[in-house]
Amino acid sequence: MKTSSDVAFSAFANTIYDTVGLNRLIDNITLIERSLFKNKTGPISQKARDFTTGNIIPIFEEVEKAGLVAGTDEKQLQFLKDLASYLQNLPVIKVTIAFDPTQSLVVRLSNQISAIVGSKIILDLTIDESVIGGAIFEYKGRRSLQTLQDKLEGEIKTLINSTFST
Amino acid sequence: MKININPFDLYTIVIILSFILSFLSLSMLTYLFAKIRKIMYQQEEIILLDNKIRRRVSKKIEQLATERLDEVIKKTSTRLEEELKKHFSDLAQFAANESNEMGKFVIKQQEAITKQSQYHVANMLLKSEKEVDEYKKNRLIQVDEQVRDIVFRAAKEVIGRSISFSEHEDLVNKALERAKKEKIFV
Repeated sequence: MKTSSDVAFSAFANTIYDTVGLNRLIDNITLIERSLFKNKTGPISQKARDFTTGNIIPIFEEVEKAGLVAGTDEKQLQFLKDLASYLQNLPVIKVTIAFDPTQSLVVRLSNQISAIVGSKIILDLTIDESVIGGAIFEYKGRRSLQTLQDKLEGEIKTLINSTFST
Repeated sequence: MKININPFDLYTIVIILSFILSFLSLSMLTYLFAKIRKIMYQQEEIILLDNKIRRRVSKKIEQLATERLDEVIKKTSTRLEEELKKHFSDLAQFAANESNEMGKFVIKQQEAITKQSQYHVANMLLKSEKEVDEYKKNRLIQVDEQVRDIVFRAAKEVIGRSISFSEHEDLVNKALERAKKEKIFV
């Protein structure tokens, strides 16, 4: 069963799909954390407004509206620390592909894998043209090699072996 | 009775006496001289005889010594000859034995060297064959890798260019499906 904090954290996590987005989000949270007590009052969204841009403020506003963030400075600070910790502990799947993907593909891929895993995952994308096509997935020490490079190498090896053996 | 002798008579007597005495002395001297001369002659004769005898004796001694020496030399040379003969015979026997031993040793050494050479050559041959096999194997691997690399690069170039974005997405989706089947996300 999810706690209120988990629900609030999920709202932030659902806005990111890869390690680039994750790092950007953690950087923003760190920046807000530093600026939390600079003679500001009110909820985090209000205090952070002058220090950060992007879509993080609306998310804060949403979770605050839902009453998922407490009002005191200490609790706000604790919330930010826990949020950063939560995001850093999200499972990461390393994916190697041959081309620069569109954002929609990244989102779709992240969502598909999250659905398979059963929880939010973050993609650690690597672009390597030598794989030619397909993808390599690495998760918890396991590796799935589904590339044209692998298939092509196998075919060429068979071809060469049959040529040399005849 | 008193005898009166006049000085003149005395003088005459003395002179006669002295004459007699002188005569006697002279006679004595003559006798002595003759006697000495005889003795001297005899002495000379004795010396001559003595020399003669000595020469004869020495000749005899020399002759005897020569004979004796000859005899000794003869005996000694015979024995020496025999000894030498024996010694040479022993030496020849020793040389023959040594030569025989040396011959055996040389034959043994030759056999050992031949065996060693054969073993060495066999080893060298085996090693060379191994090296050639290894070299062939390595060269084949190298050629295999080079050919594979060339073919792969060419194929990659051709295939990589020909894949569209949608095909890439499709390939990634298929890869995800297969990874899901492999259960790597569990």
